[in-house]
Formats: sequence, structure tokens, C-alpha cells
Amino acid sequence: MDLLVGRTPGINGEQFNLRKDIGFMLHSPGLYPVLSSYENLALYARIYKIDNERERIEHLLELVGLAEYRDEKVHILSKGMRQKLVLARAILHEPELLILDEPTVGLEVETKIWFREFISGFVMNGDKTVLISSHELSELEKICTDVAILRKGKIAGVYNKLDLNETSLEDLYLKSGERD
Amino acid sequence: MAILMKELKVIYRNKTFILLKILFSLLYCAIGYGTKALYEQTGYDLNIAYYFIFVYSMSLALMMLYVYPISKDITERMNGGLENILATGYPLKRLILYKTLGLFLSLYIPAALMVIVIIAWSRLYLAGFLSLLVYLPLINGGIALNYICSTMLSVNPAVAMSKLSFYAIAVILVLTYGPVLGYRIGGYSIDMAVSITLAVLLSFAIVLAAYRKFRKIGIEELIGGVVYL
Repeated sequence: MDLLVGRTPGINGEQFNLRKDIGFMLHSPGLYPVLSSYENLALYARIYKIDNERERIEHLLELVGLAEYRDEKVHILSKGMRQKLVLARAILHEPELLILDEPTVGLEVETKIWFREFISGFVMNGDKTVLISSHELSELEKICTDVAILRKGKIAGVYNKLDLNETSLEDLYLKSGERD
Repeated sequence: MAILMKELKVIYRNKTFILLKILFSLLYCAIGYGTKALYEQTGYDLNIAYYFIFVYSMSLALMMLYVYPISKDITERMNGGLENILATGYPLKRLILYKTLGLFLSLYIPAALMVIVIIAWSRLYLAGFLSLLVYLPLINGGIALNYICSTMLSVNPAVAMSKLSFYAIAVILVLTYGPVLGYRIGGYSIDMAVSITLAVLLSFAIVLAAYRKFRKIGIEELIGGVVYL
């Protein structure tokens, strides 16, 4: 990871900085309740130095269904809406890799479905990669093509879509625990 | 610049803070004007004006920390703002400096207003402008940087804040009530040159302490604190 973010030079001394190609949705949303949806995105648009800031933000708000809440302060938004806003922020700079940490925890069913469809569309339409870290195995099962199970900080198993067709992720998770 | 604008928006959209800031600004202006009456009562002793320009303004700046919204929006530890901004690759030191500037402006303005009022009636232009342009920015900048670094480094920002508050109370008591009590109880007054020198030394001490914290602060320490939280 240090190599990816440019803190450690490569073998030949080259400096990589792939942060601009990585979007992230951390467990803590980091939204500012007293700022509007637009202002929350505008802050990051300026950090990323996005040229067509206004058009890009308005397009994203439209995309995640928050256009009518453009000027509403974030504290009035529901949890699902906030998560959508965080997702819009994560793809603001059109990253190649999207890292999502527990993106659907605590969301209502409709919003979970919306997230799944949105992420599938993001991957399919733009040839992008999404890395999801989650405890919601049933959600992961529906969306992931490859799964790695982590136990005590170590990879306890790696599975693909074919494995998931044969057995549930929950079973695979429990089996990986038995091997310990 | 984006961070500074965000800081100012977050600060100035806090209604409690705005109300308190208006009240404090009015109070400071009243104190500034009130020193004129004190000056006349003490036999037109300009030391009173010097004292308020250099010593009292510093104490009031420290006092402002009490009304500063110590919310999660400012420290950004609890709402994850810090991790999210740093994850974009935004430099930590620049982030701290912009946050400090946001806080500095909030602390500086009321104290500066008081000094301006004192300059207006006392016509101590040199001392006044020295205070406005050098002394107050130095001390308020030091306090702001110290505050931001302390709250960021601490696993519990409230504890860091109470520590700062404790020192603030000590300084306020010593610098404002100390000379008054000394005069009333012991009948002696501290020489103004000593007071001003003490204030200047204290301001440099605050700047130095803040700079040491600023140099020490790194992403590793912050991550440690965040994980602990």
C-alpha cells in the first residue's frame, strides 16, 4: 500500500502515486453536517483539482439521486442518502479502483439493492475494479466475482464466482475457521 | 485554500459560536473603552493602556478558546473527516496550517477589536500597531497551532482541551488579576516593562511549544490515535 500511495519508492527507485486513481469509501463518512451536499463534494473536487467542478458534481448528484438535495445541509439527510453522497464523493475524480469499507451496513433493503446495482454498473460501464471489505456475506455473495476471507489479519481462503455457485460464502467462511 | 474555506464555513455556521463571538466582541470593545475610565481614574497613567494592549489582549485570546466550538467538525477525529482528507493524499502539515488559520482568525478578531478601541482613545499608535501586527498574530497563531496539534495528537481531544484550558486559566489569573491583587494586598505594582516583557516571553514560549508539536506530528501518530478511538 505504501508503494501504491507513493510513500515507498519502487525497486528501481521510481515513485508511484496512484492515489488519484483510487476512490475510497471509508467506514467513517467524513461528511460535514453543516455543509450542503454540493459543498461537501466541492471540497473534495478542489482537493482533487477537478476542472469542470460544477458540472461534475451536479452530474454525480443526479446519478446518485440527490439532485434535489443539492443545497440541503447534510444533517437533514438520511443514512442511506449520506452513504450515496459518500459514494458520489468516492467516484468524483473518476478513479480506476474503488475501495469500499462496509458500504451497506445499516442501510435499508431498497438502498442496499440500489448500491449493488450502482456498483455493478460502475464496474461494467467503466471497466473498473471495486474492492469491498464487509462483514455482510450475503451482500458480498450477490456482487463479488472474487472473494478473499481474512481471519486474524491473514488470508484464510480465496474463492471465485464458481466456488460461490457451489456453496455459500457463509459456509466457506465457517470452513476457513475450522482449519485454524 | 479549499480546507480554509471549509473551516470558515463550518465555524461560522455554528450559531452558538456566532452569538458568543458577537457577545465577546462587544464585551471586548466595552473593555477597551472602559480602560479609558480606568486611565482617568488612575491619574492619566498610560501604563493602563499598555497593560491592556499587551497583556489583557493575550488573556482574552486565550479565553476565546472556551467559546470555540470544540466539535467533531473542528477536530475531525470522530466524524472521519481527517482520514478521508488524508486518504486523498492531501499533505497533513498543510491541512494543519489551514485549520490553524481558520482558528486564528476566530481568536484574533475580538482581541484586535479591543486593541483598536484602545488605540482610538489612547493614541498609542506604535504600541497598538505593534500589538496588532506582531504580538497578537504571534500569540494567537501559537495558541491556534498548539490547540489544533494537541487535539489531533490526543486520543481524547477533550482531555487535550482541558489541559490547554487549565494553562489558559493560569495565565489569565497571573497576568490579569495578579498585578491587581499584588497592588491591593501588597501595595506594590509590577512595572509595566516587566509585564510587557513577561507577556512577550510567554507568547514566544507558546509559539515555540506549538512549533515543537507541529514538527512532531505525523500520520503514524494520528493513525495510532484514530485506531485507539
